Amino acid sequence: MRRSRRISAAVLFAAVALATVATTAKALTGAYWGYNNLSATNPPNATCSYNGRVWPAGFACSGWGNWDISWVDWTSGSGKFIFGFICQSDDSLHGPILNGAGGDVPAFYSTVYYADCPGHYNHAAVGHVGGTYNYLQAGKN
Amino acid sequence: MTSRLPRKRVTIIVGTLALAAIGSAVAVASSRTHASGASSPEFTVGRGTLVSPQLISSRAQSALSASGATGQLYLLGKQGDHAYYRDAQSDGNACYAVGSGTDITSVACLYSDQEMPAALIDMSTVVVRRSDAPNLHLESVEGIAADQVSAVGVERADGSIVTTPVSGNAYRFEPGAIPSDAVAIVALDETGKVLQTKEVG
Repeated sequence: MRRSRRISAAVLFAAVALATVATTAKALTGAYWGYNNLSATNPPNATCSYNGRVWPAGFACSGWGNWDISWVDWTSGSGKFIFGFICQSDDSLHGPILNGAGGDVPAFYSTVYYADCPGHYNHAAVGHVGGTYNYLQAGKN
Repeated sequence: MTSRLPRKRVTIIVGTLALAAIGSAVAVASSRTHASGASSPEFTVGRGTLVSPQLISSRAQSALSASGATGQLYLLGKQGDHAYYRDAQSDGNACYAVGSGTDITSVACLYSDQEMPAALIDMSTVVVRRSDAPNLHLESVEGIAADQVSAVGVERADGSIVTTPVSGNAYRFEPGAIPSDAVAIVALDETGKVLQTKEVG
């Protein structure tokens, strides 16, 4: 009788601990690139391409969708990068610019689709725009 | 060929906050927050005023949740029709966010255990046109500024700086006031000393 009570207590503790871990984790779903070094040469040219249009090396994107959220999980690096949304209307990538070496803190960033990108049909995207590299993962929701 | 480099591990994640614009004036009852540890932090930020999460859209709530924020929102300040917030993640770390109306436009959740590990949590945005990538063009300049920051400036190619004052830990340039030849965003203290420089050009 005593033995089964100790086993039951151990199982309960594990279940509680697991639940605690689950509730503190952010919802990092929808990754489309990384973790990898985002640089002037990675990913290769045409990794982000659609409708016959090609982005140069250093840019990655998701498929078309009505994405609300574009996010990056930055780990290390000292380059400059942009992430956000490629708007169908202007074939351009809009979003925050982050500089791994310039004082931007280590962080998980997300940006939300809004009216400045007309038409909700978009690509979530990330691109290297200067410096060396940044080791990160990019995704959308 | 790419190589995987060692990941710099930072221990704690911080959460921040975003919230919809409120019509009436809000008095920000701030108490300065400090990082844990024996030494005083270099940068601090106001606590802000707790606001109801019901003032933001369900999409905004989803964005906060996906970023790891709890949705317990503190309004730091407002600039025009934009609001600037902090939140606390379930593990106690901070996030910062920008809101427009009932929406959240950007969220940054920090891995640092400091409430404000830098002079700025910059949320400025750029546009990169596919036709001339990777050249970028500054579209907006805004974000969260530490208490020690008096003004935020945009440095032009000739070295001159155009500034905007910080109010309630928030800064924002009017779209028409952003120089087309911007090369950096700088944080300035009350003496004009540069506390942080972020290259954008």
